[in-house]
Amino acid sequence: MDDTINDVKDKKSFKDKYSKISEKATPYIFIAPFYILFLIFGLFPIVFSAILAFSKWDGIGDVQFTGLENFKTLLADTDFWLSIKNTLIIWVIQTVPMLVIALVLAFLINLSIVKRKEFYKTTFFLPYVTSVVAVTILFGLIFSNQSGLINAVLELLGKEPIAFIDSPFWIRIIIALVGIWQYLGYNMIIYFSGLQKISADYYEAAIIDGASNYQLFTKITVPLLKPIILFTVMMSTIGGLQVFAEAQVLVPTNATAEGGALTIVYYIYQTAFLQSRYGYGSTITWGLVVIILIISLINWYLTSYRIKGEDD
Amino acid sequence: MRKRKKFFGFLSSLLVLMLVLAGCSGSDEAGSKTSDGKVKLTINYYVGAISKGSMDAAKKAFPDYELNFVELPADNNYDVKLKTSLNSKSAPDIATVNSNIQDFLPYADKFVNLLEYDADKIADQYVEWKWEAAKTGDKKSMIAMPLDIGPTGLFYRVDLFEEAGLPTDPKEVSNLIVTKEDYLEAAKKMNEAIGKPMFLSAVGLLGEQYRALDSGMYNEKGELTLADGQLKDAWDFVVKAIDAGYTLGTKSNSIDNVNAINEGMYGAYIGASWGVMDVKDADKSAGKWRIAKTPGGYSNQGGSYLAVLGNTANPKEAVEVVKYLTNEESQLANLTENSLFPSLKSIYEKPEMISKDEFFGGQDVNEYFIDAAENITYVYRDTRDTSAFTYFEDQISLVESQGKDPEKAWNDAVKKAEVLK
Repeated sequence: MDDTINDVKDKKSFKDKYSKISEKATPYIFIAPFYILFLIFGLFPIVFSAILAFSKWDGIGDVQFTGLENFKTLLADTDFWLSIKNTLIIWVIQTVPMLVIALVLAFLINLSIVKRKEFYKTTFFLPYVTSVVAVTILFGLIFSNQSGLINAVLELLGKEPIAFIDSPFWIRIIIALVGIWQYLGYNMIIYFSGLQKISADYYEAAIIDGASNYQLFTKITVPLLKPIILFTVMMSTIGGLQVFAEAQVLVPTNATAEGGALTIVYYIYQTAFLQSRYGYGSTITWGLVVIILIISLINWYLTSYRIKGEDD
Repeated sequence: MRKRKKFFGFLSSLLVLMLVLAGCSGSDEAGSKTSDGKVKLTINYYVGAISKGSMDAAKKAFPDYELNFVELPADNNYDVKLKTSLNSKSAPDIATVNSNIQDFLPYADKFVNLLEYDADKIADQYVEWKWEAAKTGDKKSMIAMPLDIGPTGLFYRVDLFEEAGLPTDPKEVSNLIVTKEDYLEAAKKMNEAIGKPMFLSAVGLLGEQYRALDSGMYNEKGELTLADGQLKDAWDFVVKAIDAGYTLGTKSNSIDNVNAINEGMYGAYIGASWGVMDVKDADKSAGKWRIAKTPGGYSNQGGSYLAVLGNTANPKEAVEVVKYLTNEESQLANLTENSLFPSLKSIYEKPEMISKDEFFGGQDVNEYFIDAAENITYVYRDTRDTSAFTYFEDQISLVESQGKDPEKAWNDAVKKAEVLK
């Protein structure tokens, strides 16, 4: 008799326990797919590269711990600093004109006198869905030293052809141009959707007061779009500091920091994957992390103090 | 009822989790034998390294084995993937290794030592320098068998040579342009006569010279010797050519080079046997090329190996297959189908080796390649050899395209090479 009662009790408590566990575990299991993928493809590489940054490893043998040696090399590495310089130059000459043009375009398309808005939006957005490599190859052909379109035009005009790809001045501009061409439409669409959120009342009031289109743009559109502009600046920063494919496709061999085409990520690629110096490659990567952190801090400072306060 | 539903919810989410985990961990080693007891061998090769004829013949020759040939793109990732797979269970049994075989020699223990399978018994059938390059420094281990090689010759433009008053017959050219000084002298003649550069680029020219050096960037102790000072001579030679304006300044693997060849913008280069195919991309230059003996010493560029990876479950069978894929029959198929220059000396006597090519004015293009293949000498190469040399390429390209001071460029390259560890 006692036994059967105990049995029932046991069964009950087991069920209770089980349902408790399952209740607690279910949400974790639902978010597990993301975390498992993150652990494998996100956290593991981050931790491993942090270990490698203090080591020497050629990809096959044992990882040898070398302490701070890699970081000492990094600080004295002129190629590292030059590649940062290249990256920052490319980033500035790409981002600034691109965002300004995107904003102006969005404003123009948003004007009531412009018809067929969808057509313009689609057309400008199209480059965004193309492949970076394909686009870069096309740009490489256009700016090619001998057979390029631009040099053919220059020769037609009786000018000397320019060695675009070999010149540190031009190569950075061409890399930036690829980015501008590809991401202009994307930023334009973001601005456009921001513009539509600005109430027409402001514009009407200003027009009644006799404001010109230029004044509408600078006094209403730009100030009200500030948060969105900041978003695009941040996204362009993250993308801009990681420029790689454009440089690698345009200058596939003998890219040098002095030659202008070696960006930070390209330098990481050369060091780790072409020279099999995975340790030092990781060290450069962490150098890049520090730089992105610094720039993010500046961005964060600007957003939380300068912008929210509105003309403080 | 509600509890039950929850329980099933829990169960199904567990199931999903397990599926995800299974998907991540990947299947374990596929097994070394198929269900019907056949020995299963996977062979990874990059595009063009093994001909279809050779693969089909191997499948027929080993009816008891299941041979699974996997073609991979011939890019930088191939080596990265091969290196990572050396430590993994899902590695192929057999893989092609490119002429940068020295990168893998320090890890000879990750490969099957072919000397333990009597490879040395057939050593004398292959060109010695290629064979020796697959052995470790102490010669106790051999990690791969030679598939093909890339002996070089002087590719030159008959039309430009004629205009410049240089000889046009391959024999005469071979007799006139013997040393690198003769090469530079010919460039001078061409420049003075028709105002065209003889060479494609500084990087290309330095590479030609580097491959002809009879020692590597490092000695066997791992010290940076810069080919016992020979590299500096090669460097100075290239600087001379740049200063005199004998280089066109175009990159070799570029669409500009195809254009330059089509338009006849430069006179000559030292190219490997497989370059016979590449130069045909510039179809407008058909009939205008000939091949002579490489000036300044025999050299090789490229050529693959076949290695058996240490993790294979069937080393004996895999070595058998590798021996088959590098034998005369296979190499003949590779030669006729993929224009791969054989590493087996016996094939050089075969009628298949005579290749009268209309693109080269009906010349037998293999004549000087065979001469090179038989005379190239073995050079010891450290794993860092290519990386170190790349610094010199980078710097010479700055000298050419941006007028960097050659002395400073040389010192910068040496400094960078010294840091390589």
